[in-house]
Parts: sequence; structure tokens; C-alpha cells
Amino acid sequence: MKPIELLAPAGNLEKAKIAVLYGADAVYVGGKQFSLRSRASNFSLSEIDELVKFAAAHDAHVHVTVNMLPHEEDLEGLDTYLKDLDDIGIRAIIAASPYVMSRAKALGCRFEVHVSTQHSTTNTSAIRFWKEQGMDRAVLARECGMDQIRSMTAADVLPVEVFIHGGMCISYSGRCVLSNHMTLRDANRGGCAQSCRWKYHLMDGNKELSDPERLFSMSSKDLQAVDEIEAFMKMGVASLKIEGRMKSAYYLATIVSAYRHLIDEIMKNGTASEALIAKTKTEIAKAENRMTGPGFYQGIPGCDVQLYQDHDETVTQEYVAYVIDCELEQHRATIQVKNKFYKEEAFEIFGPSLYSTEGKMLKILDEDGNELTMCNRPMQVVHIRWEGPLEKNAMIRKKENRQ
Amino acid sequence: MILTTIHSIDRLNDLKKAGADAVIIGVQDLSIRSLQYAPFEQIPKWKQACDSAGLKLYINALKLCMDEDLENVRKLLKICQEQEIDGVYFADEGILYEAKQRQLEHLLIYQPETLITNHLDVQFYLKQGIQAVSLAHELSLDEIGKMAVPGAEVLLSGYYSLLYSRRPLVSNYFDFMHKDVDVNGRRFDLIEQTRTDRMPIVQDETGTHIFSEVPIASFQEFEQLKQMGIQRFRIDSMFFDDGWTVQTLKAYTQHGRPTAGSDQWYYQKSGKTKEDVS
Repeated sequence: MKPIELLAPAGNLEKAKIAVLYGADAVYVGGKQFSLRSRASNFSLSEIDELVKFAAAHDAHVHVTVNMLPHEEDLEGLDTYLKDLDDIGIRAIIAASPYVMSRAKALGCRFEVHVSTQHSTTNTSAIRFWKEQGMDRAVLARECGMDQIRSMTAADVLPVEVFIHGGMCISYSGRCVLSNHMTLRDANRGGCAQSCRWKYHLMDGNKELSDPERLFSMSSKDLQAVDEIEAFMKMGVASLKIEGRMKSAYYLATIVSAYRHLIDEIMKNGTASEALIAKTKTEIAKAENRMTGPGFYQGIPGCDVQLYQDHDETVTQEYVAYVIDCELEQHRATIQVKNKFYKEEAFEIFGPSLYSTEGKMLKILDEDGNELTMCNRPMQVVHIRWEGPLEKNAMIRKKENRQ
Repeated sequence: MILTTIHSIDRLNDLKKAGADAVIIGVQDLSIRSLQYAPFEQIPKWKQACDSAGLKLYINALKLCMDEDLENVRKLLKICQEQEIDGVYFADEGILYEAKQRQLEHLLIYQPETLITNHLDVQFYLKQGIQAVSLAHELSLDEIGKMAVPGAEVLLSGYYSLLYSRRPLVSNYFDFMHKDVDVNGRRFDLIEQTRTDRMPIVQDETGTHIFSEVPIASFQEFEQLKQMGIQRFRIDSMFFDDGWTVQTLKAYTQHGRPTAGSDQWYYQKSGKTKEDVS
């Protein structure tokens, strides 16, 4: 089995470093220019530079999204930007505009050019087209099923990247301008208002067919492809991509860590046990705020893979603290509070090399040495005595049933 | 050149007299958002009828293809070559690759609806040797002016396609509601819960398609578009009939009475963020 890349998103430097620490082989980030997801706190060139160095120190790589569909006014400064990225030493750009892709090649940039999923690559001939244009990887459309991906990987034309986790466009990516028409916010330049997730009356002439209490919506459950990872690895997919540059550091750590363990286990044993598959799903569910489904990997999505009710989305507040530093032998740690917790609560800890395990908070002291029974000030730094495994950069969460 | 979709082969002469230069038909398995899905065997019949009427014949092959569709793509290209079809609309680079293998790229018109938003991307595709490139719908008149190279094409009249999903969104909703409703190919309308405008929505074998609230109408801008350098214009009669197409054509070519529609999109500009458009 060939090694496979676990590719994680990051909306800022802190998140990118977390993703690397927790096991991503590569992270993809947006720069200040030419990138979708304009609401994300996109990276300056100096931040990309810092991240490339950090990633290299951890045997990881950086991909930069240059994936907006530029209008005339957006093209100024493209050459300089591409050259700057090349000088920094990024591994790849992910691009949607064929001009941007071919320009990077014409400039002699050393980074790879990956064809964005905005191009909805769904067949081997399309991959051959991009190969003839000199491109290095195709990010497949989320609409491809397993047999279709198997067919494309068997042809072995270019390395292919598939999505394994995160939000799903209800449309073929890039083929939707609902947001443009309803809000003037350009979906293909980072302004998507997610109008597909709004509520609509569904009419047949003047007769309403929708239930006013449960209106029509096109919102999709997020993708979760734990069941498919082994098959992807065996069929020779090059990269497994997690979506979500807007997601939190906790979300990233949880998702990346869970998939990392699963991939490593499959690499080691050639397969994953049912118990590990189940545990991976349980881990992932701890960070989800939206229900998940298999996307197109188990057939054309039916109504069970869509969201119709407001309460289908939840907010998790189980992540309570980040381990800034620790003294293993003394069972002491300095932690930063993230959400309110009581000392007596049941906790779990997971970290860059630490799979989720239980722990107990024995004592909490504030900066002045006062003992606390509860922490409710996010960002407060406190010192704890801890029973259980510890690791720097680990995350502590409440052990809570999410029924 | 004005190209129009067509409902009935019997109306070819009417369209020609009204000013059409070419018609676009749909074919089985490879077309989307089409008025008809003719079996490949009927293409020669259409070609013969178009020749008799003095019209060019174009084919809608706008489906995003999976590997299992590629054999049909090759079959269609072979028929197009044999029948000397004038052009094929495509949205998938796989079709471009297949056409290039047969030196048929000159037949192709790239129409991805949303992706072509600057003149350099137009040039990228024209350099592949294809015939034309359809510009994205959300462009303003000013932006179109900057992209008006020979080979650029715009939709003059007809409903814009706003969304193309592979999912059966309408039947999924009815399944969720436990309602048994025949949805295939039927037009329904969506009304966002805080608005009043209706957006047509159609589900078919290829997925779900959503359209603009009203059709675009470019009667005021037609001359300006030509002066800018646009030479190819398309009329899409989805949700109308050939009588509407005849009237629309006459409004452009013979100062006839315009059909209803809006030109608002030519004068509005989308932004990248909420702040851009507030």
C-alpha cells in the first residue's frame, strides 16, 4: 500500500500548527489574495513562510489555495504573488482558474499545481486533459462514487485527492451562483452566503407542497468517510482531504487525530478492525456540530443525508482546556481554559501522540496560587495536578454523552 | 450569430424566418437542462431538417460525465463528425480531451455557466482550439465588455441556471415528508421564506437544477453587446415554447415586441464579502 497524504485545512497559523502537530501530512491555507473563504483570517506571506518552516520541521507540507474564479479586477498582482509563494517553498497551489494554473507553470514555479474541486473533475479523460496541461494533481468532485474513484485511480493518470470529511456543497462545486443572485455575494470569490441552507416554500403553481413547519431546504449533512478510508488507501488515492478552513482548532485536532490513527493502523496491518472504525467515529462525533453522512460514497444521497430541521445543528462546548506545558513525572500541567468546567467533572485528554483517554483533575490553582473548584474564564491560564496521561499541546474535554 | 434551443422540429422554418442562425438540441444521456433528449439515431434527421431550413445544428452535451459516460461521448463525437454537426456545448474537460483525440475540438463550445469570469480564462479555452466560450451569467455589462473577444458567447434571453446538483433534492424532500409526488422533469418553484420571488426548480435523471426568478432580456443591450465585440448570442426557451422563441428572436432582429424579462444583472456587481455588497 502506498503512503497516503492526510490533508487538513487551517484558517489561521495556530490552527495550521495544531493540524500538523496532530498528524496532518499537509495543510492547506488561503492567502490574502486569490483565495476563497474570505471570512477566514487568511494568511499573510510571512505567516505562510512561518508555516512552511514549521511544517518542514514536522515533515509536513503546505498547500495554498489560489482558488477563486477571478474577475478582471482580481488579476492584478498574480505573477508577483505566485513567485512569492514559490520563493517561500510551498508544496502546491490549489487553483480553479485555468489561467492561474497555466500562469504558475509558465512562470516556472517549482510548486505543484492541483486542479481544484471547483472544476468538478469526475472522469479519467478530464484528468488526462489536466495532465496534458502540465498539472500535477486533480481534486475530484465530491459527487464521485467509490466505483468512479476506483476507475480513475486505476487509470493512474495523475495523483487524485478526495474529500473525506467536512461540509458539502449541495451543488457541484463552482456550479452554483445562488448566493450571487440572492445576496450579490459571489460564491466563487469567497462570498458564499450559503443560500442553499436557507428555508424555501416549494410550490406547484399556486399550491404549496412544502410543510410550513418543515420547509424545503437543500442543506446537506457533513461528509464523514471513516468507512471508506481503507478502500481509498487500497485503490491508490494520493490524498485524503478534510474540509473546513473556518473550523476551530479543537475540531481540527479531533478530526485530524482520529483519521491519523485510523490511517496509521491500516498502513501497519493492512486493514482496520471494526472496533477501531467504531472508535474513530465516536471520536469524530465529539467535535461535530452538524450531523454527518457518507456523501456520494454509498450511492446517490437520499433524504437521510440531508438536513431539514434547525436542531440538526448543535454547538459543542466540551473542549475545556489546552495543555500549554506539562511536567509528566510531577503530573502537573499549565493549561489555558477554553470553556467552563468543574474540577470534579469526568475528563478525556487527547494529544499529538496521545489517543483519547480518560483523566482526572486533582487540583486547580490560578496564577496567584489560589485553589479553584471551577474555571469559567476562557483564555485564563491555570495550573493543574492531573491523574492520567499528559502531553504538551494536548486538549482536555469533558467526558460527556452526546446523545 | 444567434443560437436558440428548440422544442419541435416542425418549427425550424419559423425560427429561421424570425432570425435564428442555429438551433441547439438535447440528446440522450449527455444533455442537461434540455427541452428534449433525442436518441443519437435521430441526430441525422435533425441535421437534414436544419440543412433544409438553412440552420446550423448544435448539440447540448453539458452533463458532467463519469467514466461510464465516456463511451457515449465518443459515440456522440463520431456521429457529429459523420453528420457534420456544427457544434457541441460541453461543461466537462473530459469531453474536450476526447474531442482533441479526434481533432474535433473545433466543434466545441465551453459552457460551464459559472466558471468563465475573465478574458484570460476565455483565452485559455480558445487556445485549446475550441469554437467558443460562454461567459458566466453573473457578469456585469462592463465586465462583459472587457471579455468581448471573438469566440465569447452570452445568453441573450432565457432563464439563468443558478445551481446544478447531482442530488435528487426535490424527491429527497418529499421522501422526508413521506409524500409520493412524481417529480421527474416537472417544474416546481422555490420561494425563499422571507421573499416573494419564485425560482423554478427541476429534478431529472442528472440531478436538480435551479433557475433565476425571471429570464434575462437583453433587448436594450443587444446593440451595445455587438459593438463591444460579442458575436455569438444564445436564446434558451426553457419553460417557454417555440412561439416565445419566435417572438423573442423578432424583437432582437426585426424590432418586434419584446418578451418579458429583466436586464438587472447587467447593472449589478457581486462582491466578495458581506461588506462589499452592504
